[in-house]
This record gives sequence, C-alpha cells and structure tokens, in this order.
Amino acid sequence: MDRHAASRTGRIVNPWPFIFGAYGVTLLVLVIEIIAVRARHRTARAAAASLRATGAGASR
Amino acid sequence: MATPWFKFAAPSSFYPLAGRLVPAFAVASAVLAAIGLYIGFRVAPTDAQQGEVYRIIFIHVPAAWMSMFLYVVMAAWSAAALGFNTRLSAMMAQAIAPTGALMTFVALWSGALWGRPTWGTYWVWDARMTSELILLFLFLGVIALRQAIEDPRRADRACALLTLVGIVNVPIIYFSVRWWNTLHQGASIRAGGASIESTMLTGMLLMTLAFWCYAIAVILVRVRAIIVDRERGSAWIATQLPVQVAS
Repeated sequence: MDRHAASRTGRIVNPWPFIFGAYGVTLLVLVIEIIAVRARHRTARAAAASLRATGAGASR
Repeated sequence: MATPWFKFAAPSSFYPLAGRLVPAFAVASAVLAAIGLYIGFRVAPTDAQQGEVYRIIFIHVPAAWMSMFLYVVMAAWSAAALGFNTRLSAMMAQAIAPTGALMTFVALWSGALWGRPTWGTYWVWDARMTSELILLFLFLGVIALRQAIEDPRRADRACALLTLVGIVNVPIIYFSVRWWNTLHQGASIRAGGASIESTMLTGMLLMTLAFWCYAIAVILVRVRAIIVDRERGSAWIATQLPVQVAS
C-alpha cells in the first residue's frame, strides 16, 4: 500500500490498480494496432495480387 | 543533391525502403521500452509527494508528446500534399492519423488514471485536458472525413485542409498550463533544465524514444498498405507482390 497517494476524502489509495490499468490498456491498444496494421497490409497485398491474377491490373 | 529525396517521394521507391526500415524501428522500440521500463520501475526512486503512482509518467508523458508531435508531422505532410501535390505526402498524412489518435487516447487514459489517486478525480474540464481531448476529436475527424469521401484525391485535399486548420490546437495544448491556471501541473522539462530527478528523466526520455520508434514502425507498415491499396493498378506494384503459384 502506498502511503503517499490519498483520495479527496483523505482515504489512502492503493496506486497499483491505477498503474496496471494505465500500462495494461496501453499495451493492449498498441498490440491491437500492430495486429490491425499488419492485417491491413496483408489484405491490401492479397487484393492487389488477385487483381493482377485476373488481368485487371498493370494498366499503368 | 536533392535527387535522392525526390526519388523517395515516389511510392514505387518508398515502398521497398519502408519495408527495410520497419524491422529496425520495431526492434529499437522494443529494446528502448525494455530499458526505459526497467529504469522506470527498478531504478527510479519513489516520488516524495505522489508515491508509486507517479510511475504512470513513463507512458503518459511520451504518449502526450507523441500525440502533439504526430499532429505537427501530419500537418507538415498535409501542407506538402497541398503545396506540391505529391501522392506520397497525402498517404503519409493518412497513415499518421490513426496512430496519432491512439497516442492521444493513451495520454488521456493514463492521465485519468493518474489523476484519480493524486487529484481525487478522473477528469476535470481543465485547459490542458480539454485541449488534448479536442486533439483526439481532430484526429478522429480527419479519419472520418477521409472515410466519407470516395475519391482519394479529393479526400486528400479535404483532410489536408482540416489538419492545417486544426494545427492551432497544438500550441494551445502546449502552453495551456502557462496561459491558464489549471489543475494539470506545469512542464517538468524546460529550456533551463528539468525539474525531475535524473533517473526519472532518463526513463521518461527512453520511453519517449521507444514510442517514437514504435510510431515510425507502425506508420511505415500502414503507409505500405495504403500505397498497395492506392497503386494496385500500377505496373511497379507487381514486382513487390508475392509470386502466385498456379494450382
């Protein structure tokens, strides 16, 4: 228990749930972004490859 | 001398370069974060006034700095897109917006969780916090505007204009703690030096570099996806795609 942090009512507050909440959510959103951005790149490449395979690509 | 820069302004040259840069920035981000967190949690002392909860600083401040920095970079790419009509500039601006929104969200979230045990509240309509929230709305507005316009070149121009108008919010965020009497504390690092203990500062700066490398890596992957999406009809893109084996 942290003896420093206190709520507005003067009650001692355990800081670790706040620290884990901040770091946990940050880690979660960063991992989600990494997965999403990699999936987007893979999808874009697959779509372009499929376009090329059907002969509609390479027009320019 | 300017030729190499113009060369990499072409999506066909930038796409493979970005692919080579991503692993380096990803590894640098992981290593810097590991060292920064070690210093932040194992080396840096407990704060005399706030106790352990101040350790949220090692993600809150880097995320807040990155949110403002990414907006400024997005505005610079937008200005280049408007001024020089370069495709890659608009794609870069498009790629930055989601990461900027995410950094802004992390800054607001971690700030709220830091505020509860220290101020006694998750949120107040303080100048710093409100202007940071407006920054989140600006990032989300730019993303939404792009989704609403079908023609990519028109979307580029509209988003560039909105981004440039919104840049006025960045100095307001930065100077809000000086201009107004706010609940949020003032800057810990000023031109005259830092007001925090040296290991705390080292951990914070390492985490800032880690966030910076992370943002570059993710933005480069996203811009590669955007390039493939928007250039899929170009002949050069075929050389970058995996060879399909006929079944």
